[in-house]
Amino acid sequence: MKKSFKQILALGLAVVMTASMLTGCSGKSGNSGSTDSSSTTDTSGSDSTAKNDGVLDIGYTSMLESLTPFRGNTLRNAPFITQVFESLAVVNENREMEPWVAKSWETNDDGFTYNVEIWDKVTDSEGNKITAADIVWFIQESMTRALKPVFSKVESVEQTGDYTLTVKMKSNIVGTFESLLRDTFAISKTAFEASTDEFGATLVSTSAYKVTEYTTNSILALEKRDDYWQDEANLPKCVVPAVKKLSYHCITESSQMAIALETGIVDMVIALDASSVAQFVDNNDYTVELAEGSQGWQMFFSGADNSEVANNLKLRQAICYSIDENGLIAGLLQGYGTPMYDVCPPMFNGFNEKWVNEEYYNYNVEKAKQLIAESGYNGETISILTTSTTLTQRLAEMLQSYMMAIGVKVELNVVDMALYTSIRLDGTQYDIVLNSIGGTYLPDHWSIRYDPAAYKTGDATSRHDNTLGELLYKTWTPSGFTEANIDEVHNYIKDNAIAYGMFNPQTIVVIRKDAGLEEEVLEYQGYIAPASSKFTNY
Amino acid sequence: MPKTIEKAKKQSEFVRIIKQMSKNKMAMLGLAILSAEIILAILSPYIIPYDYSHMDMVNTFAKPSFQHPFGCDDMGRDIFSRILYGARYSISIGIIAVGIGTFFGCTIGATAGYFGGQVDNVIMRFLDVIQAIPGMLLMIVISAVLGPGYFNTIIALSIGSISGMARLLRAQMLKERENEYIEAAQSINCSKFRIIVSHLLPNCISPMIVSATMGVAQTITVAAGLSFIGLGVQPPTPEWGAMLSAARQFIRQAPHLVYFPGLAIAVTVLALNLLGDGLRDALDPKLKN
Amino acid sequence: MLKYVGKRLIWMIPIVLGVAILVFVMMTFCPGRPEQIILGATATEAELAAKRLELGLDDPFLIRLGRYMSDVFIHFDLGKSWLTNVDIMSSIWERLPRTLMLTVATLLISVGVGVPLGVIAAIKQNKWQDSLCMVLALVGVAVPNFWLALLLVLQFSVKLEWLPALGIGTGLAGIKYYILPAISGSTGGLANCARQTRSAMLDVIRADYITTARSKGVPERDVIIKHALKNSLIPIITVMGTMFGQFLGGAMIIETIFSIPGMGTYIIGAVNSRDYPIVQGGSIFLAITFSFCMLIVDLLYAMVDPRIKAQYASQKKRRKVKVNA
Repeated sequence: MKKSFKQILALGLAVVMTASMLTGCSGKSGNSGSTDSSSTTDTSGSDSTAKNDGVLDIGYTSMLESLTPFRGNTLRNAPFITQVFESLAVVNENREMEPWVAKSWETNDDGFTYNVEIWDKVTDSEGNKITAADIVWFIQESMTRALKPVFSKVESVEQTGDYTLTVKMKSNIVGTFESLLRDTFAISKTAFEASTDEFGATLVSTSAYKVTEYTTNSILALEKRDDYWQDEANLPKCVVPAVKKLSYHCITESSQMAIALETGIVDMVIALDASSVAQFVDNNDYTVELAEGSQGWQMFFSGADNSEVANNLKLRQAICYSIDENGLIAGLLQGYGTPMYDVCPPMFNGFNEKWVNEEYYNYNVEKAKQLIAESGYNGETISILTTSTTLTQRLAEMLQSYMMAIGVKVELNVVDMALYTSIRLDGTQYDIVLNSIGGTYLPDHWSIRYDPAAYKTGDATSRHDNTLGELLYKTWTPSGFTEANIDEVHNYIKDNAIAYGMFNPQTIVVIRKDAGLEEEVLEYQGYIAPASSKFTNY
Repeated sequence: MPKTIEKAKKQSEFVRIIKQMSKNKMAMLGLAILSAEIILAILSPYIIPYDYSHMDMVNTFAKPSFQHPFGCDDMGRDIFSRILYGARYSISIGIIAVGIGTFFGCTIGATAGYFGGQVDNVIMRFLDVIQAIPGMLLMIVISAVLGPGYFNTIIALSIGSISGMARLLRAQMLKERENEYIEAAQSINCSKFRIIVSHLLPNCISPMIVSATMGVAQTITVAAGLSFIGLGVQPPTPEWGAMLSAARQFIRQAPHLVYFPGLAIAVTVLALNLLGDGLRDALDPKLKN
Repeated sequence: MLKYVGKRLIWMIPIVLGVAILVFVMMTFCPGRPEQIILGATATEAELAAKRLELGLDDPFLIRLGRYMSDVFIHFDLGKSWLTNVDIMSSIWERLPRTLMLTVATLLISVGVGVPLGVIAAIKQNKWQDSLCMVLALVGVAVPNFWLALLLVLQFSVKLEWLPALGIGTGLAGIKYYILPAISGSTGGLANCARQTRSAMLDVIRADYITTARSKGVPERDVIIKHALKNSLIPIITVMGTMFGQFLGGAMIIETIFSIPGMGTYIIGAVNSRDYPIVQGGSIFLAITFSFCMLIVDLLYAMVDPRIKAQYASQKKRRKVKVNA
């Protein structure tokens, strides 16, 4: 008996030891709000030696999977892109195009043909001179590779002089040529062809920075070149190379990201997860900056004939009314987000400020229930397709609960990114698909989502709505891109509940005070452009 | 006549094991915890205080209190209810996956162990191949092939445990096959199936039981690992691993979200291991005192 | 001995071939269209078809398999990533050392802590020290790796500031980056190791020669370390082999948390983007690594136990004797 007593005692002891370790950690984090500031001061003090290495370290959630300039749309907006590649033009913080490698461009036929002139002194880090031939080659190569949708809108491209070229577009949809300017990088054909891995691991570009260290999914270190071709005075403000050395760290775990910032592994974090912000807010050692998000999260209703929602407007409207946007913002984003007034957030070119004051399916359970009753819905299961990231999973769970509250039966189809990409355009596979679609101009978004001729199966959810198609086409020409025409599309999508903008997460940037931020320069999504801002220590 | 003797002998063996086990306080503790959990899991729909999927945005991140003993999660759902209900998924995933794995492992292992020769060779080489792929990688690939979900996760996890079980049983069979009573059975033209099932298996079963008990524990943690990668059981199923993995980003802000599902897994796994260790000692003839 | 090593190395060939075929078959059944992932959602049907043609996805299964096998095993070319065009072999050479470093560090911790725990438990069998050691070993295994990892980071990186929370370093200073990941990954193996050590020690402690040694007046410490532990090493070494395989797989999760760009993150990323050549190539390399490790384990056996060494030398002879008997 005595022996077994001791055994139990030993077990108890072990449990207490473990528990003390666990509570030791959690106890500290439990009151992080009040005590953290003192501990972080210590951190910065003890890390000061490590911090004087002259490198601005930046934490970001993803990383280039290779250095190739021929890329898909993923990471198109990542903060390091403008330091790795140079494009013909760049979008500035006022969402206007500013010339960069291009000197100027013009069109004489309402946006079908453009004449582009590039600078005559562009050289890359190996001294290769960039001429119009390289730009033409880059566009043609991109058209063949078809990785970015914008290149499929190019009819032809032709060199007209050493530094001039002509681009013919297939259509004159507003914003398409601007996208092309953004996505055409200045790369020397000679250097590219000399590379054994198509710039997979090493890169030669015209950028003001040279990649000094690059490990897939881990780190990207950049150092300012001495022999950069352009005078800084001629550069758009958001791409001026102000910081000498910077290095991006890819950190996927959101709690690890906060810890990296806290322990000084990184000096700033771009796009910190809302769940980790609390400890940095009202903390004297950090600057927290919020920028309106550029994408927003939307739900798209299937347009496929076999879908329950496709032919039932009242059901779709009821679902829109059942969603508590503020609940989503509180639950998913800890309040760091804004409701939406259109499928696209206000940052899009073409967004009409008056929409903000209009009724946009504001949360209304009574109305939702009434609509359900009128819709003739009789208990079919509605399936929601989404990816398995933390945010989307939680979003789907909340939507499920909101919809169940008005009596709609919901099943979640949570799949990995690959499977999602393969089936999201097939409206027969789901009733609702959750997505976050970016762009610069409203027609960017519209053309890939609601154009009934866009895909073999119809629009992006297998819908064949030609009325909407006609409305869309009207807005696509530069002369038709008018407030009245845009308003018509907005109202059509809204009234028919084809898609619904739910919430727009804010981009959270946190900077350590000891990084010494002096002057901040914003990039087009409204948050800090790290390389172009001035820091005392870098 | 011999049968009854054999039976009597088995019964006494069984009694001995139970006695041995009951002396081992740690094992009994494990068994008690586990039984309690299983009973709670079965009763959970009737005893949970709240609907496990009911969201209440007023109570997001509510700290543990009288109304919510374990607090509420990021969507204001009652963690206590979720953990009780989640026990159904977590424990059943472990048990079913190991059950399937053991069944197929036994079939394959017994076939290889009994027949030996070329059959054995072919099977073992195939197992070598499977074992050369790290277990987690194998399960990730299978999960990706099958897609997420409760049953698919069970299948992925069970396939991962087949080869280990098969090897274990085969080794036992090879040892046991040399015994004279098998020769005797063969000489009286006992069917092969019968020899395997009624003579060899019962004598090889004890390490399998131990290994399966441990296997359930391991499977529960591996399932949590799959959730971490984004595969495995999907929400809103309150499976512990999925809960833990979904809550990990709040580890600083609201540690109780991570604490309770983690603790639920830890206690269960610990109990299973204690039980397994106890079983091992009780079944090990070398440790008969 | 050399002959044995040679034989084992030859045996690895069919195993690696088998792994290559098995993974190839599994990836074929993976849902999700690789060409769609490479080209993005807006690609047209014609572009998708062209990509399928380029990747050879429309060819019959056996032709694809044959082509892949001949590329890998005749031309020793794992191909290029579908998504990024980067040579897979060079990526693996860059990443494999990190995963190996992590795995070896994990193994060292498991053995370094697990064996002493097991020895203490065995010496004090059925006493409270026994229970304490075993429960301590078990507590680690009971906690899911990724949770333990986060807790360790909070304690040792944030609170105590002893160790870096994530990333990799270079040179000797790089070692400290592996400490927390290795501890987080070691728990399962540690418990296993402690258990095996305990039961092996228990077997040996009762053996006659230990009693003899004791009765000869050999100090207890020497009895335990020189005699008992040495002789219980074999079962411990056996578990080391399987542990290595487990750690190699477990590294996938640990690497993700600690942002270590190793094989694990590489392969998981590839599974998620249906970059089949990477999954296949990565699995082949992990299988080779694992097989080598098993070989080393077997050679270690021989070093520890001269009886086994003799067995290798005269394997054929022994088998004959057995048959005759």
